[in-house]
Amino acid sequence: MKGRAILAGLIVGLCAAALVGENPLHVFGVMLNAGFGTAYDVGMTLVYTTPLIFTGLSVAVAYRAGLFNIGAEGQLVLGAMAATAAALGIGSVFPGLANASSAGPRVIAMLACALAAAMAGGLAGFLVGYLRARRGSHEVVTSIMLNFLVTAFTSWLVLERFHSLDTQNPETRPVGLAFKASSIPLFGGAPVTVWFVCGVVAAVAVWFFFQRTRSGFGMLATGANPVATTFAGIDTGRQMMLAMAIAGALAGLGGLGDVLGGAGRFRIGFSSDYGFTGIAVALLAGGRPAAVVASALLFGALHKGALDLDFETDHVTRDLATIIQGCVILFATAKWFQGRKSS
Amino acid sequence: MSAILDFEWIMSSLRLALPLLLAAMGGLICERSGIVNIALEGLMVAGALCGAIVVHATGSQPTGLFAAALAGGIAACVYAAFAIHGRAQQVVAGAAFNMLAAGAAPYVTKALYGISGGTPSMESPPGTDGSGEVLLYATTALALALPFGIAWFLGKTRAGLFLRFAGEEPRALESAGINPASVRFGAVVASGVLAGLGGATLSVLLSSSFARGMTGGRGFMALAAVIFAGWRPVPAALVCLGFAGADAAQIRLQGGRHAVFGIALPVQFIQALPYLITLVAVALRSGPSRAPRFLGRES
Repeated sequence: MKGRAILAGLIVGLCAAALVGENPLHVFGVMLNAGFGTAYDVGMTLVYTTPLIFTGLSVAVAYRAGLFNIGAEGQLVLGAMAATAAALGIGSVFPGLANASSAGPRVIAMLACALAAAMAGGLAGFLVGYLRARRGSHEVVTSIMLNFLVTAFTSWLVLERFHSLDTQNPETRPVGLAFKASSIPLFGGAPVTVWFVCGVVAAVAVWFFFQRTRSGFGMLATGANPVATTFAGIDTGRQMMLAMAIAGALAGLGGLGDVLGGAGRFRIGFSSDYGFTGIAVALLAGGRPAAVVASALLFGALHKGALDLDFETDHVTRDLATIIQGCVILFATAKWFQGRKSS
Repeated sequence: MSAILDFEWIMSSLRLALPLLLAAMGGLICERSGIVNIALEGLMVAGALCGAIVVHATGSQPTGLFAAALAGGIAACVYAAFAIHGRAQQVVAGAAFNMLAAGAAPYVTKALYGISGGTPSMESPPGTDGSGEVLLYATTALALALPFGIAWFLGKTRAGLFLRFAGEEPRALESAGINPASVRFGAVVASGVLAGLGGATLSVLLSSSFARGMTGGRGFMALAAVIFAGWRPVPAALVCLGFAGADAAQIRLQGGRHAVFGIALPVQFIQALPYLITLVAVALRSGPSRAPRFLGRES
């Protein structure tokens, strides 16, 4: 973690608050209170942290293989849609399963949806990796186009195929009860679910992959020095495609906390830039999985903390969180704010 | 198709191309000097916001455009400082810059006007007396001439040669006694001026206020056009015109129901068409496109 960058970002944010005539200490207090004040607030912070762990890991995996995954946003939305479609599909074929309450069938039902999400996201990531490795297409361009395409495709599915009959909101029908993870009771009713735990587990898995497996080592080598890696007999193109597929799958899982948890359905625009914030999360963590969890928590708390600014202050809006996030990344990537040893 | 591709379509294509063209030319200058410019989107936001604020305050569109160019240039200084002197990862710094701009714009409108959705629209837009039309045509003409101007600048002038060397072989430039960092800084600022102007065409010329999310990914589309055209000015402009033409046709097509081989085409698919075409075109381009050799790298 980059303490100086975080501190500098916070200072800029509080200066911005002072600039519009608010007491910075009051603003900071409001954010701290909204982020961690009650058990429910802590829970909501963890709810926002969950997708950020996944997208942060996604960007981190690509980054360490020498690629930039700007498409995490699209992969997350596509994955969430795939999980919803799977849940609705399974629900209509096996109506008994959709409302099952015993643990066994529920775990299977949710795993099937998670698999669909990971495959959809992974496929989108793989496509970008393939085009980069085999056709030389710039991954930033292809990812951006895919993001637009995913937005169009999912909104068509929501409005024309899975539209909810009981609301006017742009959202799908609710998934069956069996697919909806129950909230962990510690957090005063905030929908912190098993998907948060899965995020932490995924971080451990990514750590294990890079530190303890042959394939992970090949990927790190590809990122560190592709030319040397080629001479060592490793197909760097293959490593790139694999890295992007894994990155896509991780991002694809990021939306599950919402569609198979809190909301229990796919809502258009449910992702408040989780994919793009994931870039910030990964960068701040220097690509290290354990640090990704910590920095996701920081950004989750910022997001939750800023929500109350709209009504607790007169002039400051929740956009302050975005400003602080942008500043933190900007500072974190510049040499001026590095510690003694940069990661 | 003849009902769609007519004079009206050409005019609306040109209107839609205006912000793209200006931003793309900015991005091209920047990238040819060796600095990746993902930040185009944020620079457009800065220009669009500042232009709208100044027009709201002064009622003068030319002043608004000038202020937007200035704001884009100043904002680009921040990006350039981090990307060049701060030795930041350029893609990451650009993404961060976009985030900063996206957050700062509603923050500023809230502070100035008490609303976070955008700037209030003007009761009588300054364009209604016809002077706005003239300004729009003049800006469009400028934007259409710009690619040729930049091609000439890069190919035939000394400064253009320095700029290309900063992107291709910065050490050679250094041994000639020119500091590549200064050349790059200038290029980034120029890209900010053009992107800011491009953003302001949206809020000043094509509408009468700034709205949240107004740029809608146009900075990214402009960058895609530059990369797709292999970092060459005139082809990049043609790609921008192609995007705009597809977009204009897409807007017209939304009016009715359309069918291909008897299957009704949903509106979302029509909207996505320009992006799909770009993706397929990028994928079918054989061989790696020739990027400036030191793009994103330090000298």
